[in-house]
Amino acid sequence: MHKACIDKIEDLNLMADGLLSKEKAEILEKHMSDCSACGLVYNDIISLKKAMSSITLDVPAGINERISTAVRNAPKRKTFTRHIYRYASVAAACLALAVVLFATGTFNGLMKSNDSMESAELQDYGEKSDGRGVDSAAETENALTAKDGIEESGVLPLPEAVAPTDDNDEVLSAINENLADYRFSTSAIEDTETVVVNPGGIPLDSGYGGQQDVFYASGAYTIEEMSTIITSEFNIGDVWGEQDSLFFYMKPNLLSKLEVRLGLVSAEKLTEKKDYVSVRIISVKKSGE
Amino acid sequence: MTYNETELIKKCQNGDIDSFDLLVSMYSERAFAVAFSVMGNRHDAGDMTQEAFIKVFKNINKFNFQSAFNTWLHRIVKNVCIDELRKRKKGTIVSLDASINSDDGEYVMQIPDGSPSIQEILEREEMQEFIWKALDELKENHRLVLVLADIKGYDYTEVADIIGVPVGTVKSRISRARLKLAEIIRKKGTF
Repeated sequence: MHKACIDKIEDLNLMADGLLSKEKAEILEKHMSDCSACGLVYNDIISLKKAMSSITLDVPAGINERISTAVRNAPKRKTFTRHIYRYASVAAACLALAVVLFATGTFNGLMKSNDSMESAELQDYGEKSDGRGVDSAAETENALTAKDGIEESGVLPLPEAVAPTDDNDEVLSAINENLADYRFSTSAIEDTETVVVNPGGIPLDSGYGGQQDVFYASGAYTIEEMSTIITSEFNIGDVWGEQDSLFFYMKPNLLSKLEVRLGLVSAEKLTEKKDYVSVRIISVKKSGE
Repeated sequence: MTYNETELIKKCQNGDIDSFDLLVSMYSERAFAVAFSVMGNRHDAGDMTQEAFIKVFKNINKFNFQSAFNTWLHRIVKNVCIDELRKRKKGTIVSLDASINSDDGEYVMQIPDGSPSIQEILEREEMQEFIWKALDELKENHRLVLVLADIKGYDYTEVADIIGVPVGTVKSRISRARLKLAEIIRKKGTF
């Protein structure tokens, strides 16, 4: 049995591709004269390259025309604006509810036990409300639009989930019911085309955009349960999903903690991290199983 | 004639379908290669390429130029294919082939004494079909880099650009993929 040297394998491939420096190539050639296994591996690589380069993989004839026709006949896309409106309507409802809470003095009590949640938007707005009051729905709408700058920036900072407390379960349930609607929905997304996330302050992007870390779920949680954990424990503003996948953005420094918490198995992990990472979790466990 | 990719994308974002046709003509070959490496046959790869470009068109306004268009397109193509395969199989679709590292990490490849070379095996088999079957046994990431680099002839930088990983990752992935493919071919050709 011949054994090739592991530390030479990459260089053998680079040499076969003509990418090894002259100096390194000379050293490697000398090594191969003494190591028959590496010589065999090198010959195999050359043979594979030659064989594969002779394979033809042509694009099917007429595919560009097919695509052109399909694009022109495709149903009008679900626009980003539609989602903004959807977000905005839910956010407006939540804020209106919050205004009522402030007006009745119940909100401060609700917020006390909510240290881990980022309710800055509501709190900030609440402080202003305390000082000047909020007179009308129109003013609420103006405040929301001016503060968020939705259309201008494309970023829609939404209030984070409010954890239920004993103080006012009923009101909070209503809030969370609304939040759940936009945080995670399987029924609202007919296919995978639209994956928009917004963890507050992070630019909106498509879930398909850029690089993506892909994980397989352990099966310990349903996607709904994972969604709840991600939003409540990791302060991820928005988690979007479909039948068996979740998409969201998060800070890369929390990724390993998330892996442990959900028992994820990495399928495709990035080697280069940016300010935030796009994460996709694929689960085979469905609700009710 | 060459076109400015950024300008084309911006025109597409303003609803110019003719510009999108040009983008398709520039990238359909790469997209098809990616789709083929996941789906494993030309018919499905063609369908998925078409599906992916429709998604690209519908979502072109979300492309914000923070990543290379190539990378964005590749991600869409790959996701479209994976979603399609998952629909068909209703389960996990990515197979993870065994690591090529030995337990002690010292050696990576064992070649039985007297076993035929890859060249000898390929000479006596129906080569194209044989290689495709062997490629089919690779995990998707490995198959993808070999299709792009060794079959389509893209250089390391182009492959890195298409699949959105550093060039160093492409080098090591191609290296491992070739060894794994050689191992598969040797097994298939020996029995």
